[in-house]
Amino acid sequence: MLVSFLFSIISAVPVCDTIQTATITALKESVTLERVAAPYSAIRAERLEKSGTFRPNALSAQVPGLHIPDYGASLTSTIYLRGLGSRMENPVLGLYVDGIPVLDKNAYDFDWEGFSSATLLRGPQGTLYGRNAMGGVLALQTYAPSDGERSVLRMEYGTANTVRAGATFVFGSNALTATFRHTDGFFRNAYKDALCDPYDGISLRWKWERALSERLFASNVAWANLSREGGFAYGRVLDGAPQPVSYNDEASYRRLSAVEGLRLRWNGDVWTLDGSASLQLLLDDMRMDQDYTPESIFTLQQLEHSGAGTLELRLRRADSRAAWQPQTGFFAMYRLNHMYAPVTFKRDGIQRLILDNANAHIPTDIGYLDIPDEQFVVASDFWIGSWNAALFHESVYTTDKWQLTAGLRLDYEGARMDYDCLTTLHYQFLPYMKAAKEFSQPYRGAQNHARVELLPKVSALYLASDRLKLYAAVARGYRAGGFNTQIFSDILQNMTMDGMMHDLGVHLDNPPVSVNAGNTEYDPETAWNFEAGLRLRCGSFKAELNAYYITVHNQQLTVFPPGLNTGRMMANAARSRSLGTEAQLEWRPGDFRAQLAWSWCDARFVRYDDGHEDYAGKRLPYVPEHTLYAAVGYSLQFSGCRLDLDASLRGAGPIAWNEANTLEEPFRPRLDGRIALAFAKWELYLRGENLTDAPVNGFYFKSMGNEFIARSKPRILTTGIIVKF
Amino acid sequence: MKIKLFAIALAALSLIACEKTPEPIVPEEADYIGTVIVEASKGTVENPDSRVEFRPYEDGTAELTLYQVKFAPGMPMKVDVTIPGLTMTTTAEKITLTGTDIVPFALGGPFAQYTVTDLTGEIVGNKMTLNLKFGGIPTSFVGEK
Repeated sequence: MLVSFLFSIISAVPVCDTIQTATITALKESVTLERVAAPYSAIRAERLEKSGTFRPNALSAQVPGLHIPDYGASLTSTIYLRGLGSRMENPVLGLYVDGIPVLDKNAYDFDWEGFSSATLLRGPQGTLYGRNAMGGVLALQTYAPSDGERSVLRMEYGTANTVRAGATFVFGSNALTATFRHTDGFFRNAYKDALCDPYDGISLRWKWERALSERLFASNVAWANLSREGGFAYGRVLDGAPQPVSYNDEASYRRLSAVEGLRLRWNGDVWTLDGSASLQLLLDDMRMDQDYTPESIFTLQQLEHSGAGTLELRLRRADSRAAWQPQTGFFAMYRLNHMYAPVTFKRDGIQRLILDNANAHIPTDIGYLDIPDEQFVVASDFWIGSWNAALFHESVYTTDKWQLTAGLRLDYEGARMDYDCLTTLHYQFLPYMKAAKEFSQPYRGAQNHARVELLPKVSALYLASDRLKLYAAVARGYRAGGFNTQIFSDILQNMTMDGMMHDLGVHLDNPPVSVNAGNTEYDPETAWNFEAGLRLRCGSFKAELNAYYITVHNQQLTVFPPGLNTGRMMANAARSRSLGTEAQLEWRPGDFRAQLAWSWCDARFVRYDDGHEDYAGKRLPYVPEHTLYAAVGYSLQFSGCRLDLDASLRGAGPIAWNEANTLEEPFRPRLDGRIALAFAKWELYLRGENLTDAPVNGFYFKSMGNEFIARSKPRILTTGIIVKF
Repeated sequence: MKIKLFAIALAALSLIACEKTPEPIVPEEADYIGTVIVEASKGTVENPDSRVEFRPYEDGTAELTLYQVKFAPGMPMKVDVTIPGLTMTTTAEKITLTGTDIVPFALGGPFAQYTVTDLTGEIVGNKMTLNLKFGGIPTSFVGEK
């Protein structure tokens, strides 16, 4: 019935235009986006501007099923899409800027300025994009010299003394972009009586493009982002009521990320060779009050120095009109990360997390253990090298009505982690020991892993008419495995306790259980995605409807390891399946515009037993059941100027906060709006986010038995000016 | 003939010279594996496969360490206990250990709660036997190297 309805629309509307895809070069597909047999969202500069999308999390719900909660700090970048995603480690969404892959998830969240489009392909894109593209690929395209010369300046000021300034200059073969953002912060730390989430950041980007000869085209893009911020605005929940943020230790994040990417294209008579290479640097320093309370329990520092290189070569047919479009490529990358991650146990933590647990096992008439240190450090030092090499091929064969695609990627990934951990403390067993004794516990070693993954893809696209395309696809994707570095402090803590007891000559019948380095590796998560959809283009009306079914194996879940631990670790703990539908509608008759993006996702465990409870059939935590983005706008034309009125509603939910599904965040949409007065050379605007000040919770977790909630940002009003030269 | 008689007498003399008094055993550090039995007031605890380390010193004393001994049925842990300053006497057949009112070392220091009294022990060949009281609790050990 739906199809017949759509066919009736088609027959009534004379001509359909297609989306402008000529400038989309950040993607690798052999065909235009309109002919890709996967749902996609292409958000152009105008819509990025009107929807206030200056950071990745603002894409939430604008892309059906995409949920990037805004909490923690910019290293968090937790991405959920179609039931895939987790709070830690590797992302399920590949990020490309001008065709250069961004390898480190810690560098995903940065200020966007000077982007001509953001395109998100949903569903596994592993055949062409490899690891961590299991949920899809987000391709950001910056303004290029081929887009024409332009000079744009932006300045805006808003709630919380937020200042954002940006400039984009495109001239000759160059495009330069700079942006700066400052905010005092939105959440107050009641303990310190100060705002806890200030932000200062600057980003610079330079792009250079030129045809070096008739056959050779070169493009170089380099960018750097420097930021420092507070964050981790987590407030306790007491008797079901959220409390203000209140913690006593430092919480901050500093980051310098830089990428240099070079792309070359050689056009032969028969073949076109695309090459790209990049060098990537990430220096960051995260400090966190890990108990998020006013007590001096424990703190975490995570200092990373990471360098990476990528190389890709792709050979494809020069004649883009040929029926057979083969594409064969090779990809390789290497990343070396030095991470120093000391956990400092403070007086309250020594007592509550260590001594209370230890003395619970010792009869009181025998004596008790004491650690008189005010604090001690569990120091962990890691060198982690990870590498990936892949061969891939994809062939697209087009007939009059059909477009068939088949592809396969052979992906090899390996990693090695060298760990060097040490803790030194003083202990005393009273009343027998007359003085405290120094005790050191080292833990050194290495872990390796290597995996081979095959990522096939088969799809078919049927051109029912110029306006309507139907498609179906089956593809496999994977998210890389890795090592649980964050659990080493727990391992060392348990080893220290065990070592102290042995040093004392005490052997507990039931010693605390702990993982060891051999248990810290986790495997890749893999998914099969089955997809069907339709794409309709009728004049200014565009629609895309699709449904998917995903089976996930070796699902990477953040779990609490066995024993008395304070940390969390990633484990291949479950199997799950996601079933969902997504819809995108866009209609732009004249000066009116309307967009709708909606998704329904039923993501459930097929198998997950944490040893205490069987969660089979329960909804996956943190995954919204629905996402909704509805926007309308109208432009009033006056002589010499234009008044733009835009409003949107967006939300995600319900979201289960735990595996047992006993806690849930309801669907609470937020209202945004924008009024702009645009002249030929400049534009004034007023933008409001969360206008109703809806009390939306963005994140929930438990730590040491305490419940915490991170609130989404309150109402934000911003006024700004854009000047075009 | 005289020569023969002289040779026989010489041989007899040499045999007489070989009949010395037996030398005492030279004590050596060693581990003995066996069972420690503790007759606690709440019941008898058997600690099978317990290790007892014997450390002799040149001044004629010795030290014993009993590893991983549980002293009461409900005790959730085992403890290493070192008994220093034992009197050691050696003969050709055995090593004898004695001691009383000795404060052992455990849990990082002197452990007066388990003061050792009436300790007697023997090491004969590969076998060690011990009888003692830990804070008045009769304890025994039989083990072999």
